[in-house]
Amino acid sequence: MKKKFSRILTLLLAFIVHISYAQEKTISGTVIDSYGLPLPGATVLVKGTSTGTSTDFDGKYSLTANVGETIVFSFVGYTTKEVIIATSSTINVTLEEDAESLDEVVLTALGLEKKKDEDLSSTSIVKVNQLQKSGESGLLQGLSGKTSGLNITRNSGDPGSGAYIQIRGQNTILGSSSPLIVLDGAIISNNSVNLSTTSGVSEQSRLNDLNPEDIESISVLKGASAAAIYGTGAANGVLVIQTKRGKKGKMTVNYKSSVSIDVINREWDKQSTYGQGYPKIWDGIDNFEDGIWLGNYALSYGDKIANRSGGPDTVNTNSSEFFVADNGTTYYPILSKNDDTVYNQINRDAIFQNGLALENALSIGFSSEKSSTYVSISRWDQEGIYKGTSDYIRSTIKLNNDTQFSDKLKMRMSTQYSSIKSNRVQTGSNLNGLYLGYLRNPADFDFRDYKGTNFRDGITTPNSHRGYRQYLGSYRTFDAESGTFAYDSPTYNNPLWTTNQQLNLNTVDRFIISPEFNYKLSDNISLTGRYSIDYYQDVRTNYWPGGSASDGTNGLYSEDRITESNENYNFFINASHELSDAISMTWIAGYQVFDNKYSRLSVQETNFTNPDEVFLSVGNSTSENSTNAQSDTNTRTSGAYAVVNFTLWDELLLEATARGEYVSTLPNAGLIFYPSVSAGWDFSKRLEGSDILSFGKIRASYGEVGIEPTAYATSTTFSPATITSSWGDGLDGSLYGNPIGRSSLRGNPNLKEERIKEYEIGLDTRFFNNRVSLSGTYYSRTSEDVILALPTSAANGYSSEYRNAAEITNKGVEIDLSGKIISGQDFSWNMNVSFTKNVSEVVDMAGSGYFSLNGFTSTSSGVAEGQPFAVLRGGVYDRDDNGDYILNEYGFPTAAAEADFIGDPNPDWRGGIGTSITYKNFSLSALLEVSQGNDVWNGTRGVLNYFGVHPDTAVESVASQDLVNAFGDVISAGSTFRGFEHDFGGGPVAVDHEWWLTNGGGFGSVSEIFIEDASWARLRELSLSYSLPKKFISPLGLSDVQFSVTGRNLFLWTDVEGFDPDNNLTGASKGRGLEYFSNPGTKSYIGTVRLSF
Amino acid sequence: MRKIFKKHTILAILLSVTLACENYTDNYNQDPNAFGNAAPELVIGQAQLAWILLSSSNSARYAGIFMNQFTGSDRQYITVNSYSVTASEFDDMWDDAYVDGIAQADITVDAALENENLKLAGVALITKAVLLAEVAALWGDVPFTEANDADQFYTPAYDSQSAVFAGVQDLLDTAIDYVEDEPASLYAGNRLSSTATWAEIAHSLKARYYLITKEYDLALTEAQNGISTLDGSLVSLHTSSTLSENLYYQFIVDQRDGYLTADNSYLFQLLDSTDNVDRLLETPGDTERAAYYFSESGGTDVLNTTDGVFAETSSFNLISYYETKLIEAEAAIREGQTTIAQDALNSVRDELALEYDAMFPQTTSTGDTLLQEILEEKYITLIGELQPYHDIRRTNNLLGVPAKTGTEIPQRFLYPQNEIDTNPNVPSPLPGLYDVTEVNQ
Repeated sequence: MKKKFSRILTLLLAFIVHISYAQEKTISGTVIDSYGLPLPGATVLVKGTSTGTSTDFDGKYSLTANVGETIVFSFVGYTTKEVIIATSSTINVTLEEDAESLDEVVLTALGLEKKKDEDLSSTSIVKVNQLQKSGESGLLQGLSGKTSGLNITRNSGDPGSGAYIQIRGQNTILGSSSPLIVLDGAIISNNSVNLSTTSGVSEQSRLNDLNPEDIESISVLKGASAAAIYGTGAANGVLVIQTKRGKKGKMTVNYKSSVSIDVINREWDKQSTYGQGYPKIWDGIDNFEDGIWLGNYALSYGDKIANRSGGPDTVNTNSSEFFVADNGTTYYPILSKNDDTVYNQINRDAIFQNGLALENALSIGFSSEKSSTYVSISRWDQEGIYKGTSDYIRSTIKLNNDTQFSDKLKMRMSTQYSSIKSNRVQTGSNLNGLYLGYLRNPADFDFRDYKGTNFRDGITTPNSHRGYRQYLGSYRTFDAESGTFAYDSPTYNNPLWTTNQQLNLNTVDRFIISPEFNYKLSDNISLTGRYSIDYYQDVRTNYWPGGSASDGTNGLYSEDRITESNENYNFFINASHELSDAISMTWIAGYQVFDNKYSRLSVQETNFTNPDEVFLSVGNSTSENSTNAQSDTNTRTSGAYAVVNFTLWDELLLEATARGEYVSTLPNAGLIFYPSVSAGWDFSKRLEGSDILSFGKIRASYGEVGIEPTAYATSTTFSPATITSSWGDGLDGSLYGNPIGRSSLRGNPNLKEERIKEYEIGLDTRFFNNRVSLSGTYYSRTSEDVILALPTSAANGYSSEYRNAAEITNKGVEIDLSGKIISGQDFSWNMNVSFTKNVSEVVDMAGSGYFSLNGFTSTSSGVAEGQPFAVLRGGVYDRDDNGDYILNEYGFPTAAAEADFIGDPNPDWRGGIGTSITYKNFSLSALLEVSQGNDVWNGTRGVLNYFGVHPDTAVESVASQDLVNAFGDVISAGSTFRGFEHDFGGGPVAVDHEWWLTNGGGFGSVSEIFIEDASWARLRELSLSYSLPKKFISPLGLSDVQFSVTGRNLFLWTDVEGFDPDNNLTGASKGRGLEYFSNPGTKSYIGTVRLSF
Repeated sequence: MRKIFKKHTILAILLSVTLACENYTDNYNQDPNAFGNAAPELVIGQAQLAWILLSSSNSARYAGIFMNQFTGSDRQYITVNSYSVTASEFDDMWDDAYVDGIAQADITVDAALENENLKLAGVALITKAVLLAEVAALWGDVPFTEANDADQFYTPAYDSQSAVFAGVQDLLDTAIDYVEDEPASLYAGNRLSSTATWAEIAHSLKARYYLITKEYDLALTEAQNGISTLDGSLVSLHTSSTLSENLYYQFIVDQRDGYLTADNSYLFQLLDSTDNVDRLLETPGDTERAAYYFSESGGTDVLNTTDGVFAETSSFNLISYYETKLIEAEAAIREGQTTIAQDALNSVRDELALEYDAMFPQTTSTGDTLLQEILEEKYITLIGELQPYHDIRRTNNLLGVPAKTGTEIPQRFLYPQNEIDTNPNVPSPLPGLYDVTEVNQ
């Protein structure tokens, strides 16, 4: 009543004013958005009157008003602007998109729109312009830092490399850590096959198959209650992705072209003082200062390079073995090493280049009366930062159509096709890996001549592989008995051999088709039917020529054909009712079935019959050297769900969700039921008239979701046996009569689902006329009955057993703050801050001490009772009760027999600060991201110490007294030695090669010394864009021309050495915080042009 | 009212659809990639592969470094060479023995007995006995009576080392009954080879384990019933195909180039005539033998993987004629039967002379000298095998093999980290590397 009265009063006043100043005139102008595009249908109203109009198709308007009156321009999704009428009769207005608009909508798990102000969960939304600014090829990486509660870590800087995505903390051990992805109603795969290995290539993430330009918005459903309708499978939250669709109105054409230059962003320093070889003392020479050069030797403990005579090496030109490089240079056995050149920089420049990516994307939106269509094509063509074959080409086509068949029946069709071709590079703990061979290479070995012909005892080996551990190249002999060539090859690949001679090809073809029909039963009840299929084939081919390291010694060819399909049928009824003046209700009831098929067929051949040609097919080896493997799974779920919402007195919001389902992987679990409830109070109405608070809502929810085990975990099986030691040597059963043994993993018919129970409470507020908004959520989730292959005493006949054994808790806080600091016509400045803190703990492990997720025997990331999830465990020094080292006879620490927990790879907190400044046609934005308190095991550093390559090993000291080294050699007082003095508690000792080669280096039994604080802060994005003024482009028929330059990862602040800690050796796996010769990260400089017609 | 009726109908339909669709998910959990069961004739093979692995893979390499036959020259093996080892390094050896070996042998025995195939049961019992005995010899007290019965004993208790050896003797006795006079080719596939009978092999094994428990009289009798010809030795078979090569070859050539060498090892020095470490029993033929054992690569003395003991297709002894004879020799001298001891050692020397086409003069020594000569011959002849490591610990290093570091040779393998993590019955406090096992106390 009060409201009505004030409105009448205003009208009355306006009427009076109207009479007083009857200087009526016609005002006209254009309303455009920040991109310069006209805004048709914007509301133009004279403040305090009913006089108003809306803009036409070109954003133009015209109305009559009086000088001194205020015109209010508004449009849904944009900030409202007020202009006082002065003398000019033309008023042109630019409306800014309003990120925190009153009408901001998020998508629910079913993809239905919901006003954020009415949402009872912590769902947040990332919009198209935020994604576009990132300049990333991959959608996943582009999400980094965009909202609280979301952790994105890329696998490496390699082209097409995938990323790890985690909402809140890790909940599960065997299940996927990726959220459920719902793309226009389709449940799609974000698989990353082979993600858990410490070697191989940097894997892709299937979500990155999408063209980021097609994305309209991504709603991040973090909480269990929001995801609850999906039950099993929604335990890690849901990403609901909406792609662009044709809009009503005239045809729009958008074209984007960009160039991106990638540069390695962190590199290792290598010592340049000492050459390849071993310490003099090993020859019994009492000299600890330098060493003796030895070719083909692994270590860099040789002589001082600067002390050499210089000039070419003295060689034995009469030798029966020599190597002729492709460029004609001939290498003979070295008799004396004279060359005093340091090749670190020369070698580095031979392998690294600036990566280059070109992106072109075109989209067209058009509509007729009954239908609208969106079509796009795109191509991303990227070459990596290595000279050689490292690339990633992604082409996409998309067609979305909405057709209104009748008033009641509507169809929504979303389709897309992606094609990926990529050439990848071996990485990690892998003798064929790029970084392993590159970083271990001594300073005095020039690896540029990596390929040529070896001549040895009258036998010629073409395509010979030359590396620092075999400087005359690989050679072969012919074994007449087996009819094959046997190669002798360098222990490590020359990095140029890795990038130029080895092929790791990958092609992916992927279709996603999702038709949806919607039928309105009545004004308030509609029926929706959805089907979707996501199908891809991922073909991986490896070709390692004979003469490669390790498994590639005699040639290796493998092909992996992986296909996955995800089919989803979903029917639901959606209804709303006004039960009374005070109570309204909406409900949804639905039924969903889901079918996943995965099939992998692999073949591998070794010991090539004809190794002299690149042969990308099977049939190049004897049958004993040809193996094949197959793995198929098919899983299904079938469930019904219901959601009921009540709104009481426009203030109280209530929601309840229930899902009941059957899961094929749990045949004995019966019907699985997941309940969830939420409540919220919108107290803004109580604060009407407050100048400070413009909106306020508190909310609380409780939800349950689940995770199913991997397929076939309920039974123990028998399979053909191959047994190996942890060093890789072993016996392949198929060559020994194919015996069949019982699996070492015991099935469990009594398995039930893992259940995640979460409650969260939160607050959403806006202040100062919606200029500042603040949201915060506290959540506490417990994963019960977490399934794992629980390690058991091997003496009971099994190595492990599937059990509902673990309990994991994650508790955390998420805060998002944003504000429009300045909001003027020509100038605006926005800021946003996000903060995330999550604390995880494995509360129970059913008595088992430790379960390794990923890593090595010596150091791994795993789960253990009382420890944070993914805790690092490894070898430690033996200590007494006071915590002091237990020293050996020489005064050095000793390794403890048992492993211990040595680090926590989870950050204490993560945060982001974003800002954007717009001045006229210029726009500048920046995003700073921070991760604090995360540990990493820097295995690379340890190994570089071992090899004498790390700069720490290239120091010289003078013994202050007689010193003993770790081997017991005595370095007499006053003499110079390579190393330094250190006191471990038993008086000074000499830390030198003997210590680095044992428990002071990366191959010792102790890994605690290589744990580092990998906290980082980075300038994730910096972007400047400029739109050409309208007056220049309109005559050309263009509606917008925008240029932008973006820098990605431009600055990185971290104490960690040698690599970007936003990488992970084991990719998108659950094991975190491991670094071991993984391919490096990159920073990028991106230039983009956007044209709109 | 109509509306409500409509709504209820829809819900009712939905509900019935849901319930009907339980069978949408039914019977989708049959693993298409694996079998539900397998005949015991197929399972025995895996247990035998585990026997080969335990005899010549990582456990043998560690033992070889511990007893200074070999040298750990690179990476992690340098640390092993300094006897600095951790519990997790023993995980795979233990797991391979129990899960891939003992458990599969047990499955074979049970199924074979059910099929009344006693011979197969006997062959499987021999395999099981060897694996258990070697595990006990390396680790000391280990699970035995409660082993491999996950339903009843999820965390099996440990039996004393002596109880395990006693049990092993019983298993072998049963096996001897079962196998009758079947040749060792029965159920050996292309994995194992021997011209002896399974019973002779079992007797040789009994002799080996009586020796370990210092029951020399019994060892003597069993050895005399054991393998009696050179090609009666039970060996593993290897080919040039990937993962069927000699396991030492795989490690040294394919997997870890340079890790395991003979660089300055005691065994190398014993055979090398140019240094001042000499054999007790002068043996000119060791020059030929050294060429078979060792070669040189880049200035380092390495193990011969081209045309020698660890070549790609070289067979590896699981229990040999030489070992049987040397057990007989040692047991005899300890029982005071010098002539038998001399004859046994000399028959080994004669065979070696033929094998290397070189001079292996006979011994005439007696008493402690003869005992040391026997142990020395065994240390050299059984290169890469576990037995000389057991001998050194049993005899309190009578041979005087120098330790790699310090003065002591490790007395045992460490209990694996996985076992410490999962089995509360693991001995407490955990014994250290130099703590003597029960039978050697």
